[in-house]
Amino acid sequence: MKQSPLPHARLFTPRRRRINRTHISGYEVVSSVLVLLALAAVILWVVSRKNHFDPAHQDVSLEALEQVSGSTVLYQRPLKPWQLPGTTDGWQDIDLGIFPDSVASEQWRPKTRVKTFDPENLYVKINGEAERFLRHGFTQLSYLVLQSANQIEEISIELYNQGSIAGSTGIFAEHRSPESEVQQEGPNTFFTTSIGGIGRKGTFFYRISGNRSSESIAQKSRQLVQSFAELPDPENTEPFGYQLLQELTIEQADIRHQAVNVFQYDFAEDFWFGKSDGAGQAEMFVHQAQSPESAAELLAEIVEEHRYEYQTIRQTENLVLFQHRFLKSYFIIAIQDSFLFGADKTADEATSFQLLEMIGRALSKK
Amino acid sequence: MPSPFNRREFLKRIALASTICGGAGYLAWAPEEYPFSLKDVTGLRSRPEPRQFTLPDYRVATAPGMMEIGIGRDMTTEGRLTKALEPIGGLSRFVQPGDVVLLKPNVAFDRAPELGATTSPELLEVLIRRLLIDCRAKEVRVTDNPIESPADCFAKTGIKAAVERAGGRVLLPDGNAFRPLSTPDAELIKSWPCFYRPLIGVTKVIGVAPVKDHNLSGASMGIKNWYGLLGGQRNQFHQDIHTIIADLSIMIRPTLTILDGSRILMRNGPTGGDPAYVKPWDVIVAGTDQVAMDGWAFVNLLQRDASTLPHYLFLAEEKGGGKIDPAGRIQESA
Amino acid sequence: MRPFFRLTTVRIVSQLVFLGLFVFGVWATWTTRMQGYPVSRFLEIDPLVALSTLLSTGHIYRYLGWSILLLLLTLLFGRLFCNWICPLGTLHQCAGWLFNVRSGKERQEQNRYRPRQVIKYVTLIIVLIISAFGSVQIGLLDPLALLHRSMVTGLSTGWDWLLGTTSLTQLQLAPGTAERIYTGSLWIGVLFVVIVVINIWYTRFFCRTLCPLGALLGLVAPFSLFRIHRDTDLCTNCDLCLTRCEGACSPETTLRVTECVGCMNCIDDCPENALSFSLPRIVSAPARPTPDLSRRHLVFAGIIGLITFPLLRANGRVNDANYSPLMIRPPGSMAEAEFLKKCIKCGQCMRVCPTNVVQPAGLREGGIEALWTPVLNFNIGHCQQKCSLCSTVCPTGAIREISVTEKLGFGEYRQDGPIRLGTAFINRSRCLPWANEIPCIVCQEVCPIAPKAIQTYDEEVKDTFGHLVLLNKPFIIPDLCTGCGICQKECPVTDQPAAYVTAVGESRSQERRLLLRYRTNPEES
Repeated sequence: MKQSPLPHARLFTPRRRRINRTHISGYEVVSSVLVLLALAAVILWVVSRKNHFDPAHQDVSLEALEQVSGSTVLYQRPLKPWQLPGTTDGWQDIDLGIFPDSVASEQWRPKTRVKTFDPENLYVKINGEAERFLRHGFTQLSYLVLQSANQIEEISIELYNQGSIAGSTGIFAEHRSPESEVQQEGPNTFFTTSIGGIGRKGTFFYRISGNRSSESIAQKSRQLVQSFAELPDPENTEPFGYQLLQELTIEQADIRHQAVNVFQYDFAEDFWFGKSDGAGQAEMFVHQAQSPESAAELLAEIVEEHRYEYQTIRQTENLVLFQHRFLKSYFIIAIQDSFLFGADKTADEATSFQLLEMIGRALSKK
Repeated sequence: MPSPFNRREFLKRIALASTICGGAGYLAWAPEEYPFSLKDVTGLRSRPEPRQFTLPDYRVATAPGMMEIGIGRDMTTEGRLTKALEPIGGLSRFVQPGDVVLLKPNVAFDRAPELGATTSPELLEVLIRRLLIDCRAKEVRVTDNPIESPADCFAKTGIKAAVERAGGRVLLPDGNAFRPLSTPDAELIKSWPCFYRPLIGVTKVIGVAPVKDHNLSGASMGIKNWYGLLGGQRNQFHQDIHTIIADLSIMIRPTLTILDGSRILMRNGPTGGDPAYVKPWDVIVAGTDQVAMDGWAFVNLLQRDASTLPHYLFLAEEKGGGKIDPAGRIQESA
Repeated sequence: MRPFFRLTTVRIVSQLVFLGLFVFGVWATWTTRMQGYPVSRFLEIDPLVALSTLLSTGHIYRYLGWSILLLLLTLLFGRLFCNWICPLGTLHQCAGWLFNVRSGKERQEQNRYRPRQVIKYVTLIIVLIISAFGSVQIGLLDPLALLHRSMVTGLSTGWDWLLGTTSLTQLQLAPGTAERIYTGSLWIGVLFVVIVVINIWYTRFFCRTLCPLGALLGLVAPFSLFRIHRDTDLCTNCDLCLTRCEGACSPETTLRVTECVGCMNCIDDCPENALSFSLPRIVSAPARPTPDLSRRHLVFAGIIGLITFPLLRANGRVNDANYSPLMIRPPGSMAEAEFLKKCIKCGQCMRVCPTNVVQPAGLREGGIEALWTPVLNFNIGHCQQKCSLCSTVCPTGAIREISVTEKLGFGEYRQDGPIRLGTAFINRSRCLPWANEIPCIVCQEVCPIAPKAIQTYDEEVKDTFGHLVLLNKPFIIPDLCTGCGICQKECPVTDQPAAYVTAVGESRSQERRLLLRYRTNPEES
């Protein structure tokens, strides 16, 4: 009963280390000590490597972060609110971009997304015409097609942001013809066409055209014009010439800007024109030069060039009156400080002076 | 020939056999309620028993004439904190000598303090110094359960260094630091793994939270800060974040809550990551009603419209976590 | 007579010191413990590592040149490394000694030279040939890599777990290491246990028969200055010198210098003082300077080496057409083919990773060729944004040393863009908001990129119970995504996450790119 149930077996080696040799040379002792010293050196080396390096502190410097700070801006999709199924065909989800929400309705739904074009790719949309818009400071075109609920009629809207009032009035003036009946409605200046309308508001210029001539399209066009009143107002104050001509009670519709090639002269730029009521074809104009000297220079150049087609009726130090050699219309131009102003295509001398005086008065009030 | 097996031996063997069988039989077949019974009819007895714990109420008694929320504006962290604590009676009203104080900053991400995703280390340092020197607290512990690696978060946010400079202790979480916390009044986290080890012996708890934008819940401020005490599958919380945050407002009743308005993360929360998202400011809010503080900070620090107050604040008010309207309870130090 | 200052005792001290340093290296390979210690140095002085990566890449990475020290040691003293330094050799010797219950005569028979010891040279030739073709497989058998890998996946997880569960304060020595796992660590462990246990049957089987590093040093050893010399005048042919011979190098007859590991036991065991470790002597038995490699062996090794490489490569996980979506390498890794030219499977990157995301590859990620190389498993962890530790410890540059700034593509690295490990995707049929009308936006919340690489379609819906719920349905912006995998790690659909990262789009390889251009950073190319 005393015996263990398992047979006894050795697990580990029973032998102690022992050595049989009888001699250890002095070299061996010395080299052993040397090896021990070397080992101690290795340990010391490892220990000496210790520093206060803490990888947890690895980080990107704030400067590097600031360098790219805010460089990526993502478009934030608007929340899609809950709608009872069947109430819509989903047109509400379409992002109208710059267009006011009132552009789309149950009756007129966006057919496509809003497409935008910038100066680089404007030619894709209106090849051939793009130059005209670019000349007037074009910045962006937003293009939207509306479709009637019965899917028969379509209206395409081109909304150009010309970047400035000067640009939008300029391109508007190029579009209107003497026959167009320009109307003013709030901030909108526009005239209707048989299939839609053309107009401007602030820095925007727009063309609305339906796919046919119909009452509903005409109605929608009017409503669109109204809704464009909601377009953002220009950030900059209205330009000087525009303000001045408005103060002379000239309709916004009759004010236009010519950026380049004024009077067909390549040196004349940035003139504002306004048609006065009851003065027939006559147009007042005003230009602000950089300085009185450059204004005088410009005047001298215009007078010089005008002599080929006009004959001088009267000339003083700061006023010149011309008459066209064949058309017999009058052209008057005057200078006051850095302003050049006058009237073109007036029927008689008296009207010329009358218009000139009007501008002169308004200028001195400023 | 004598039998090798006499009667005496026989009886001894029988007695031994019946004792073993009887004992084993008792253990195996005695009904569950009998002493020493090992019987398990349903198979449920062998389940490990959850070792739940509950949190005490860490609040201190209200004092008459004291405000509940103080706002301090100053150029220095020190000044801000002093001014914020002034209307509510100073730090010594909340922490007595000998207290073991647990600070819960937000150290959720491994971001530099300038990025506004975490509590600022300057504030913690000042606060710990005050607690240890002015209030003579026995010990100040600082802990959080970050999403990223804890060591890295505490290092990169500068909090580890700040706490150690000030004489506090950083307790990093590990798998054994958690135990299920029982919160019977909560809706979704009646029993949820919560820090246990860092809370042993703690007598006062102070939340020190940054004010941050939060993509899902709207804003992460004082209440949401307690999220960092929990462990377990926190990623389920996002399925009903508002109820969870409302539950947090009653899960722990802190002694004091401090909102750190020195760097406010306005966008891309809760992670931030771009200095452009951070608005440096000069405010510290201290108080005892987290719900009112969060409501105030949402409007005044994050500068959001009061009509878009996070839904969880209303839920928290309903559950008794506090009152949103701070009227009459809030004061800004001159 | 048992004096302390003799070669055998000093040898034991040396073995213990180096084993200790090796274990310390593994221990210190952890964020809070590194503190600047040279944790990878053992792997970097391994001449086999230097030689095979030189053959595969034509260059010598960072500190690998220090392996010249070992060559120098071998040229002076023979294969001393094997029995004085090599920690795996120490383990083998220890196991062989501790469990050795044989009688003296049996032990002498054990330690006689056997023809099979030539196998290690064949192994060496094979692995070097494969290396020259561009597939470094020395890591499977190189003793330092093998031991390191086994320690990382086995021993270190054990001690860290023990510390994590038993430490009484919360101030642990290794916060975050307590619950580390390594997929497939069983087989790493089995290989290790087998080669150690085999010592009970046959002492130092691995060192004598398999070890390619031993073979390499063995080829250098014959040029050494010092070796064991047997004074034939004194020798009585008693064979006692065989009793504890570690290298099975025939000290009793013609010493095989290629096999002698310099254990010095024979000197101690000789009652006639006939043996010594010294410079060449006049009265000395001849030594055999070459291994038993015959031409048959050479041809055989050459053929095996030549056919092994195509066999491995044709397995088809390295090329850019059939790579595994799971083959996500640590940040800073070379393109796959270059990576396999360098990785020695030591597991250093797996050890140092603070989130445990770096795992030994199994067969499904990269086939046999990439077995036990590091891959990222985002179910286990995520690649921490501001960490590049794996790249700093890699001894061979399979993971090139990068800074956090380079990893994230800031500052001077803006044009290179961030290092992309892969690209995240959303599995819409498992994603709670997409598939089940349940709000959840954990992935977006945890995304560390600014602005977030996960954005949402926000939509109000009535769920199937008639409650109005706001769903944020996530989608990935691949231009911003760096493939860090935190979305996969934190996704509540934990078993097969709805947000998941696959290898496509990784920036280490042009062929595995996803996007033609990065819309968020036009500079990036």
